[in-house]
Amino acid sequence: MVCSTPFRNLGLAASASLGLPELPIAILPHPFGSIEPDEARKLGELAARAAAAALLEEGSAEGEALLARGQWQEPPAYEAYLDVPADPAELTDFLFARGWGDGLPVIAPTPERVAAFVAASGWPADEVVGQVSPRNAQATVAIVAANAVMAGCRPEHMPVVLAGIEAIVRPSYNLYGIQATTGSVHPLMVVSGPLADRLGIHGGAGCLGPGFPANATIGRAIRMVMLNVGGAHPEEFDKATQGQPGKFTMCFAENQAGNPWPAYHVEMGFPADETVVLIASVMGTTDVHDYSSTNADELLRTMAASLSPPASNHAHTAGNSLLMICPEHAQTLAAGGLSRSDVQRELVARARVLLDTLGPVAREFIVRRRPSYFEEDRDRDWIPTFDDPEDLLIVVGGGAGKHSVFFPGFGGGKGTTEPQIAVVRAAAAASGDTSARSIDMLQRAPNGRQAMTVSMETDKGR
Amino acid sequence: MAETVRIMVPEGRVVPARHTLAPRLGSFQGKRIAVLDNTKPNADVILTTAAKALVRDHGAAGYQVFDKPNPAVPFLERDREALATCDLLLTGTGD
Repeated sequence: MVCSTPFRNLGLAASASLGLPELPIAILPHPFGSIEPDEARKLGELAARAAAAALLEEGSAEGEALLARGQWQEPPAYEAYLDVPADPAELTDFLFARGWGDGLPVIAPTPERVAAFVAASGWPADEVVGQVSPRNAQATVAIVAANAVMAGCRPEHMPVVLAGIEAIVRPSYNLYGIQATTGSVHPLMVVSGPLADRLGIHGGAGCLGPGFPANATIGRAIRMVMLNVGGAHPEEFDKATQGQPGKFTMCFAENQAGNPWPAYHVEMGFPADETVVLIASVMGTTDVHDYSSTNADELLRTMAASLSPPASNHAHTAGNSLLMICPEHAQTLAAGGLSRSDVQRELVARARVLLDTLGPVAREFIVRRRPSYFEEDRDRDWIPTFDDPEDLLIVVGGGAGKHSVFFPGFGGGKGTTEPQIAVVRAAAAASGDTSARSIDMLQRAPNGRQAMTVSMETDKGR
Repeated sequence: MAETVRIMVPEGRVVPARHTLAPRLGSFQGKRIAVLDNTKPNADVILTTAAKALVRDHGAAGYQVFDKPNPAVPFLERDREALATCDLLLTGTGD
């Protein structure tokens, strides 16, 4: 394996997480990109010397000097409990020094608090929700509860937190890639269904800001699991160039009161009395401000332009993104006779990147990443921002005003990270019915295209 | 430590996995090289230059380049069998 210098620790952590800590890694001068081909070829010659030193019985000292290796270490005996300072400020520092927490003050996950959270979930404490990348540790219900306590959740939030964790550990979410990337990608959780109101998950004015404890703490609990169980600490496995405020927390509810269309989860085929979480991978927020358009067509033009910033990963390489349409914009669109899926289709048809805004090297990079668009005409002067209408997720949220919010996605095209829907299983667990439904919302059709319809399956094993 | 409180450790149990490295080779003579290009800029240049150098200087039999759709995903399942026929694989991470 070849790594540029800042990625040394990522290479070592990745090989260790795969059970091969002794894998030799060639550490070469940074950067690999944005250099001339001759410089890149010099790095390739160095890589060959390192490969010979790593793989042959007798390699050169010069090659050996380029190599880094880890060592196998037996995992320490697992300790379920630990005595820590009771003082809240000391507690946060003590836990942070051990690699636990996000830097903000935390609540002590005492056995009593954890037990209360587990009881409120209705799940068995030792049930494994999933393994969390890259550390691949087991997130049991009790472990998720401990992290939810630390994040400041209340016991009744547990079913929503569990649904979120259930969603991000699915292989098609690609948590490993999301934790390690230099991009500033993070999970965005949208809660759709009647539990949102009952739990105080806010979808109205200011729903992405401070002042709504359920939004803040539920989203933070997801990140807490990604840090504490997944082990993706900044500068080590988490290689985000800058990171993102949304990596602390991002959770809101769909604003059903301001929604002119059926609720999101109903449109996805779930009963109205059920609650689901939608988890998408996004890279922060972009304001979509239009307080002048008086009709749907004009508003769509503004929105489509906002979906295609020319220097964004999602616009170059496609994939899925999310648009939170404010109630007043949604009313304008609905008054024009448009359903949610009509809006998806119209925006995806209009959203495009003009390639003459980019230099020739960047253009070639895009041509290579999206070859299907250039098969017939290599000189096309634009590319679509999305491959399919369903790649643009749309929910209604926010309060009065003419600001919608675009959440650019991770990009990378289909299969890089798929949005996930998980059912919040509070009612089922409380009634003793442990059956649950899961949804593969982007199930692929035989021809490789994404199916327009949604299929549901019953998972009786949970 | 002053007054203490007992907490549940929040990190979860790791199920240990350990794999063994393949034994080192006596030489690259006649060995087949796989290049797994992660599609980041210059990854193909650096890795194929390395593969060519191993052919030129060490007598490796040749190399085959395998693409990924983008850097954030593993190799494609369709390439598993072909990759398994190679004796060594060169890949990388970095910007």
